[in-house]
Amino acid sequence: MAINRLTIAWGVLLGLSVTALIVGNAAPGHAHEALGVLGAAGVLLTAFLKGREILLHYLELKHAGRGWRIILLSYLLLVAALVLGAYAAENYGLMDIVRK
Amino acid sequence: MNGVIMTDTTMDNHRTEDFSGLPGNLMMWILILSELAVFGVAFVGFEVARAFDPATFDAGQAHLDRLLGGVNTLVLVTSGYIAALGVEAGRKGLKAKASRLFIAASGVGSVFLVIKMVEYSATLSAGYTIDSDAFFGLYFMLTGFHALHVVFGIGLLLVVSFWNSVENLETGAAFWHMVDLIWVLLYPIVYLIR
Repeated sequence: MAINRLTIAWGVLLGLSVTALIVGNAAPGHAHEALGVLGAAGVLLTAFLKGREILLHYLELKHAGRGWRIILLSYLLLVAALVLGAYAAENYGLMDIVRK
Repeated sequence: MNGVIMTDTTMDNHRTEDFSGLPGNLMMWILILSELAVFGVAFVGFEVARAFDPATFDAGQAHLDRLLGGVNTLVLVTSGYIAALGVEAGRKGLKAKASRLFIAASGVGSVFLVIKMVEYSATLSAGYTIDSDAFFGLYFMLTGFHALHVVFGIGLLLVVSFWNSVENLETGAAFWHMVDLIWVLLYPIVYLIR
């Protein structure tokens, strides 16, 4: 018997959640410029993949029009990219210039 | 039925052709899109505020229990999974099973609130409130606003477990998945990224 896709999505979500916690704890944060940004990018990637799984399989965008998929997946990407951009600006000291 | 919009509720196990096959009621999707827009702006705003005052945000974030927040992620995605199974059961005509699954989903969802209360009481008893600083102001506002959605979502799951037409089940579950989706973004941004 084939495994229900909803069950696969659940497993993926659990796995990504644990991965996010491990990556988030291992990331050096502000202690290291590049690795800090890489850690934040890793955590945000797991968030994007989790959001994608929820959108496609639980909110059933897999069966909806292509336009909805593009809009909502773009939303996820945009939020993750802007958050990462703000984090990277701070980690690389760009905000010191803005603050002055 | 090509080109004909089906409104007969006895046929609600088939997707209507309006609004391109989104599950549940259109009004719920308008709400979902508005909520996602508001939370999206708030998340980016949080990170920008942090970039302006990293020391305050780092100090505040260090007091959060990342593991407890992580456990709450597992709780919400599990509850969402159970609700999705409930919709599937409802579409197969297994109404009693669908109702049981929705009640179970709301039960698991309330574990999220219990954990959230444990987290809040630890934070408050450590002397941090919404007025403490920019970090705790945003932390309490974002997590509190999300927790209110969890409360509403649990109520909605229970309501549709009683009035369990397929459209109602889809609509209730869609709101619940949105609450899940928002947490999946909120948790890494507020708790994990440092």
